[in-house]
Amino acid sequence: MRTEKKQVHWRAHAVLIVVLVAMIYPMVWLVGASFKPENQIFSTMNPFPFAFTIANYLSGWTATGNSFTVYLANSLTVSLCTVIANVASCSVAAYAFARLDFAFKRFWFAVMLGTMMLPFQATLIPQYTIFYQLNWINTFLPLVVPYLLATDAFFIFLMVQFIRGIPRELDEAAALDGAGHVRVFFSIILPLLRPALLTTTILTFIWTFNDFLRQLVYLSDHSRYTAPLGLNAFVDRASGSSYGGMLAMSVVTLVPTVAVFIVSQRRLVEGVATTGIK
Amino acid sequence: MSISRRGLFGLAGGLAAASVAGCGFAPAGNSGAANNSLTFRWWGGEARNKAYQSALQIFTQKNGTKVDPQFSGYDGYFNKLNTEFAGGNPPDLFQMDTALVSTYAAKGVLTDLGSFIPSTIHLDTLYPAVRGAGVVDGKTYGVPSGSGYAPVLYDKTVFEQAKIPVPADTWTWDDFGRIAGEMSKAMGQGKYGALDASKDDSGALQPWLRQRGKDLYTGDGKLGFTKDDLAEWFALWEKLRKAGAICPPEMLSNTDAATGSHPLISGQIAMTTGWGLAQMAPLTQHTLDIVVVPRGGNGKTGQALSGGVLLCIPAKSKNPEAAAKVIDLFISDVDAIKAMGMSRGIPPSGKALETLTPTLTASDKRDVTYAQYVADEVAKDGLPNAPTAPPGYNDAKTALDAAAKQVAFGKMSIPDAVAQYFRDAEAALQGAK
Repeated sequence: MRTEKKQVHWRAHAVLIVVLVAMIYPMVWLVGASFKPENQIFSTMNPFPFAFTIANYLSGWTATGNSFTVYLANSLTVSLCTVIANVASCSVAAYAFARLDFAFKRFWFAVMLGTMMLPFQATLIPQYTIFYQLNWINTFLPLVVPYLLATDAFFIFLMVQFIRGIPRELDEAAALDGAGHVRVFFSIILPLLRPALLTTTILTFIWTFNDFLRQLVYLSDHSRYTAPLGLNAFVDRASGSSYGGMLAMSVVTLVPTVAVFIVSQRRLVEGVATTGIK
Repeated sequence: MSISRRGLFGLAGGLAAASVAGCGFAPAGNSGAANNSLTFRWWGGEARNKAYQSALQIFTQKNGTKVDPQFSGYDGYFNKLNTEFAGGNPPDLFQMDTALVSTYAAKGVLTDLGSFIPSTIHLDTLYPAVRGAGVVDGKTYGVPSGSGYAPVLYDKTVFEQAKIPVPADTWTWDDFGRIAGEMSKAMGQGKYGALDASKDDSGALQPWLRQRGKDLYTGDGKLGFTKDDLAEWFALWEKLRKAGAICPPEMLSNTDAATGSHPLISGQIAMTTGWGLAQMAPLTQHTLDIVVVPRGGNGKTGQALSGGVLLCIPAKSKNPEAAAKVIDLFISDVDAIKAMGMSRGIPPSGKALETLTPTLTASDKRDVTYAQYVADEVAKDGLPNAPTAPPGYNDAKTALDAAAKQVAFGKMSIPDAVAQYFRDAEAALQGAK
């Protein structure tokens, strides 16, 4: 019995390790290649650098017109503002859908979920026209302000599901003590909502940090470029790409998202799991 | 009552938090609006970005007009541009893909540069063959910034290892097949003498057609060759494929762009048609070199000069006069030409080449001597200039790619693939009119 169980463990581990190696290989290759001289990046099979060099990092940091420090600072500004806007607006909207009664609530809820099915490309040009009329082109405003209006239906849905799992008795007890909706929201729901808020924070941060097309369309000035736009400037099929610099800066750009993920991984899973049950 | 007031307060708090962070939220100054500035958009790598910027500095010194340079990579470039055209806010001057100019011109979003020629834009400084690179239906919508002839690219190191002489500039398609076959044998299993170029329209099929007095397209935007021509073309490659001289079709998946995953970089092939020396040479430890595309039996090269990238002015440009002056600076100003050097390909004019020749490095000189040699040979061809790619060209190119791959994978007979190509390509060209 005992040995059999052990063997199952051993086999499961072997499979997991093989899958892990397959999945992590691109990352290992990326980091390894970023330390290789450019003429060996694609012509040698070994993912580990034979002739170790940090030249890619030194030249890549300033190669695209502006320092990468600027791009990273811009990316962090946009991401953090988006996180604040998204968390504030989505939690309020979710409270309304989960706890308030208003006319055509089910209809509006369906409409809200329906916006998730709209591809970004379908709304790109109308949105661009609006932001152009507002003279917001080439600023961070089009990237952040929409999130103040609870436009990210996915997170509203996530929080609605979570709030529905919180016993109504808590609200009612507070109401008996004279709390209105605002008090209930801030004193009862918001503290209990913390796992869902954390999930929203982390996912919003990672998605915004990795976003490309929206930032490309709205930002034109180099001093306002974000990290993904900075990386894109390395690649040109006509006059030659500098892969070394691009790979090195890709590694640098990965650091914030990986750090956020590692620090918050346990809570992220917790938040998704608890909302999924109900 | 208290709900809305507190709710409003919360919203206002959020807004305040968002607006605290940084200058990135303030609208940029008077970009493009004033008479003494304009925005110029291009895609490019490090070398082109630096070259264009130094040329634009010279422009500002000479004209007093400020140019706002906006540059990015090629990915997403046209997504952004299309959004801006649709939103009514295009840049004042931008870099254009030669293959797309007819499509944009057909939509009426580009300025006809005719009124600036020859008063502002001195088009006659360009080589005659490239002057028409941006002409659609007799109107000039774009002016080329660089030019060149697509060569055959080969791995010199592999040729030396195999002790097989490298292709000579006088080689023919028969020589190409023979050398590719010999290389395949010498390189060993899983490696091939040449890339399958049956799908390469401008790098291989066009010179082959021109050698026989035809072309990809006619001046009025129709296909310039017959079904028999294409059947013969596919048969030529089918024979090489059966003989093992060219790569199997599986290897074609990574060949659309000259990037690090190209089989030439991984050492799986020894020769390929098309551009890419400057992009690929830094990525390999082998020595790469270029040679003229194989000639026809009559000795003609059939090469067509390509305008590289074009400079275009949108119809809604806020400062078309200044934009036209920038275009002229790029093609005829001696200082700007010196500042840009060889970073945009072979300069498109004899004047530019004369200006640059004393300053060139050895590898640049190789490019220039090659370009001059090909130009002389092309002059001996005595062929008319190739017409501009018509609207719908991109779909026709895709149709060739699909038909060639059907044949290569053995999914379709040559007559069926030819029929499919003519049906799809003719529909694409017709539909785009």
